[in-house]
Amino acid sequence: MRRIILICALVLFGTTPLRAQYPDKQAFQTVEHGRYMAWAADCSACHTAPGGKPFAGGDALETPFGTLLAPNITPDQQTGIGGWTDDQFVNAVRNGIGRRGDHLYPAMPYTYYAKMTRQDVIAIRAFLDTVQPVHNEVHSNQLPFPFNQREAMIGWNALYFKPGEFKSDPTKSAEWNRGAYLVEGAEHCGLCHTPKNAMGGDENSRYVQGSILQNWYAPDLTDNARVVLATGPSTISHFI
Amino acid sequence: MGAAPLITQLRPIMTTSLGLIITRLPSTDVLIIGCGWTGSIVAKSMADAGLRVVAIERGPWRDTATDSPPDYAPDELRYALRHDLMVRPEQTTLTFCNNPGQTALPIRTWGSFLLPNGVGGAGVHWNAETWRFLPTDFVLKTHLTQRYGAKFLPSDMMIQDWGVTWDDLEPHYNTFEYLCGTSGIAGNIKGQKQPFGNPWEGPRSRPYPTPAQKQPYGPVLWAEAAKDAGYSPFPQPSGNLSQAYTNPDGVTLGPCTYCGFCERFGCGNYSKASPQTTLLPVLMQRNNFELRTECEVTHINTDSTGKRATGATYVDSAGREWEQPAELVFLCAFQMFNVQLLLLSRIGQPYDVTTGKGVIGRNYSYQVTSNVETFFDNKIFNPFIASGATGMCIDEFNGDNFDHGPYGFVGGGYMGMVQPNARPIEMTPTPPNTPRWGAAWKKAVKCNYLSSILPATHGSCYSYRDNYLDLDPTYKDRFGRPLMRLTFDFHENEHKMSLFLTDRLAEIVQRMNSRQMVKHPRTGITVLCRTKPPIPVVVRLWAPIRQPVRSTAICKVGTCTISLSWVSVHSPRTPATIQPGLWRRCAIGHLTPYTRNI
Repeated sequence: MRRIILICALVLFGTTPLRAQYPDKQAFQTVEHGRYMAWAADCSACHTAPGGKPFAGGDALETPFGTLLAPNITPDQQTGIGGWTDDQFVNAVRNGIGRRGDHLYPAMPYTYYAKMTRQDVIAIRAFLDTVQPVHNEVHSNQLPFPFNQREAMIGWNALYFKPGEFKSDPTKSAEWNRGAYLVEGAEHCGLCHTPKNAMGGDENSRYVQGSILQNWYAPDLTDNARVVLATGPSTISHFI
Repeated sequence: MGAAPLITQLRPIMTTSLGLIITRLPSTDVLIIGCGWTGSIVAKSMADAGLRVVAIERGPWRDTATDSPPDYAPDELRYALRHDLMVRPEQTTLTFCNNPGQTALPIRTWGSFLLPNGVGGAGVHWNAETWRFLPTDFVLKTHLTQRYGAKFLPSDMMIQDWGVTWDDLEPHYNTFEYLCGTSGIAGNIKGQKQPFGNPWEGPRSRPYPTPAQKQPYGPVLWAEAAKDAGYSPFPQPSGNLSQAYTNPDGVTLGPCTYCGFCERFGCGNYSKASPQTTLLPVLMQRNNFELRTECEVTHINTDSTGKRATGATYVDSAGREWEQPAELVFLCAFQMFNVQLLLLSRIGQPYDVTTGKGVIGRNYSYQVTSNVETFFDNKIFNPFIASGATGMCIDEFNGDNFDHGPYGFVGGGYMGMVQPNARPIEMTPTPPNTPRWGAAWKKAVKCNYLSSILPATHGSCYSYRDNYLDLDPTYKDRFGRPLMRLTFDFHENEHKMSLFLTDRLAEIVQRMNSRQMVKHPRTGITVLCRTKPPIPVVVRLWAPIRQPVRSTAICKVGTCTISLSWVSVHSPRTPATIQPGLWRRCAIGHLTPYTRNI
């Protein structure tokens, strides 16, 4: 009997996390989940240029520091992410470290994506693997000196980036935690809706209280009585 | 070869409003639905003719080097038990019941048959047993009626002649075998009987392209016993090659290593004939061929008359919907999904079980297998040394090769020592009355694993009025389309046949002086889900090989199915193309050339 319990324990705690860490990227469920996560993470908002091919990059992001072009994330071997390993992809999405160890700018919201689980990020990769590969060379870094020095991000990360997966709050409901996971991670709401300081870091004391970015107004998402945005029973509004 | 779908002509429309807009693509000459064996064979011939070909495949891209390398291709848990190469029931499934009076329930775990998914289709995971029909199989109704009289056949049996004959199909069998490099010994070349081959086969125009595979010890002993009994044993024709072979398209396959990981697995050695090892390397380099993977066709479009297919609508992995117009549409998906697409697209007349009218979905059939589990004391067979198609067979009791008059049934099958593997999870032979788990079970497996064999029969299953496919009234797929409903059960004729074949097999096995022999004929109802649990289970997941439940949903009239490959939905160059004959074939013919058991 003891042996059976041991085997059960091994099966439950030994193999399941492994399978979760390395999901079958060809499985229908993984691709479908990846599509859901890619939409939640709104990858195409930046990585699909207006009128361009899906995920082929090239969309210009105007930041207070200059222009960045969103890279090509189609599975093209030369100009996309087709030649990346899963670990490289996860490292870029969750830690802001590029394939060759270069630092990404936080316009790519790795500061938020860090909260996503590895398997969700792999699922996104599985989905991206299924899109049309597009040969489109993009030179992302159009920033002026000194901002074009990516090493500066080491210091920035030390100040403003807290790596680590989302930790659920056991005192809250599963629904609340699911909402929090999405808002703080994939949906990266705060990237626009949280005011930024002079260095482009989040002012976390004013989390999702609204912000102005390059002439765009991102409204206050809190339950501030003057703003009637976050009402209704949906998971995200509940969390906010 | 690209490692991902190649889409070259998409118009840059819509990145938003997904799923709401159908984008019409530029027309193509040929549209192929499903890129398995038939899809890639048709694609190749159409591309060779200079036509622009687009193939749409529901599953992922698969390639030997990236998807079945030798270091993890033989993962029994992943592929044999978790069905990694099969369509996920979450994506689509079918419902099942045994007779029209029952309520069908969705199959949520594959068991008795495995529906393939991905480029290469079932050609990736088949056993590569490469049989041909017997000449009489093509004219079955006429032949049986002439020999035994119409009253000899059960009244609800719906067999027909195929409309093509052995002579029509022989050149195509031949082409296919030379594409694959099939290993075997010819038994009949242009009417001349050949020694050591199958004396019952129809006249073939050429020998097999490569010699037969080497035979393991078990098949050799069995063949000696069969010979003693007066039969003519011959090696099973195999698509797992005995030696390296370069096919007419210049693609080279390697020799088989007898690892025993064929059915349910991709071959890491480039030894098993599959679209990946024979056709796709050439096809993928053609500029006039385009393959779109992870795209599911939802509808075949027709013109206002409904007689002419004008293309198909499909959904890609991003949920976007596309319409691909085409001059020619080929339906090359797995049999059940072909029928489903025809029914959903309202093409042809659906079969109605109450009136017996209609052709789409009619004449579903299956296969009947059985075996004789045999235990020895003093033999070491090393049964794990095998390929999916090694083995010695006899054909004396196949089709109508013997007089059925005294036995009161029709049909038959080949039999032999054709055990395709002894993989550790599935192959745990134990004599009857052994505990099903625990130390005693373990000891029995240890004692018998190396010294037992599993000779088998592979019998026909003819079509009946109440075995058919139609659309389920209740259950829908992810697009809201009705699932396919399969209504099937074995009939008395097939049970009688199975008992007869199993007895003949046992008589041969008897001569091998075993310690113990256990006959497992096919009896009772089909083992597909019968009960009504909330999640119906098709068969026991851990079903050992001795229980003949792991078989594929091939529809066969004979025991072997290299059947008609595809259905031409329409051809503008040959008008009036929707013919009842073609549709019937779609309903009864499995669309890839393989034989039994996956």
